[in-house]
Amino acid sequence: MSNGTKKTFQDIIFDTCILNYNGNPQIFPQLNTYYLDLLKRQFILAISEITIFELLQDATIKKEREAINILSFFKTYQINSKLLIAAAQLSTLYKEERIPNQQISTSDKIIGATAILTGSLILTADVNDFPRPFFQEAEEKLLVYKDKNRTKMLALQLLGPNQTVITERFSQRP
Amino acid sequence: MDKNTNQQDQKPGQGQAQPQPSQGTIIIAGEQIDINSQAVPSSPGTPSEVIGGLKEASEKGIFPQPPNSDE
Repeated sequence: MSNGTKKTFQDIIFDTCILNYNGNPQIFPQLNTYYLDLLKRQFILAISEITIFELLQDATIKKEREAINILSFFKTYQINSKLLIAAAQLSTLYKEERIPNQQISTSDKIIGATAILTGSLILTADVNDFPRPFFQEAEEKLLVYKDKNRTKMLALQLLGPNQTVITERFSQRP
Repeated sequence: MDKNTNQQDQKPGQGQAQPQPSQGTIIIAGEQIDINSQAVPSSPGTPSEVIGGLKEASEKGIFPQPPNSDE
């Protein structure tokens, strides 16, 4: 035993779509409350470098500067060759599982592989981008909001990589 | 298929997720890799900087809205 106060830190990697939803004033207050709750639980909020690419596409110079500044506050996972190999392998596993490859973008495979290699969770609003059995739900948060007098619901999921299944399937790849 | 893992044992609707230790190994490109040893993170800002940044992004509409936010 050391000092008995060892803390567990785990990152939550934001799927890019979560940051996109930030711009919706009807949803943001609830999103913000949820972020605070996650931080209170000692999670660390993180992004993949691919999210920087996705968010800066088509940005004006002003928005680009502002976005880079804001994204710099996040723990940011770099893309390296090991990660790209893992993302490609993940793509193979999806194919073997008969998950339509066109359904999941390269960016989402990179985010998925980052979560696998770092033992992180992923916060997403689209579970189809991180399919079972490779990812499984750790928590669901439903946000109900009004939009043009209509009540809508946004379902957020915290997903974790199922390392047991992934390791098994990696070893069984053709 | 085995849906259990030693990392995530919460089930949907069962309370709140808590941080779990990241451990284990995985074989990538023929090499055994320790989970959490690969992707190198940058140094993040403080939680209040992150929250403040997200608030600013929301107020100024810095990030593009999702193409299909009607779901």
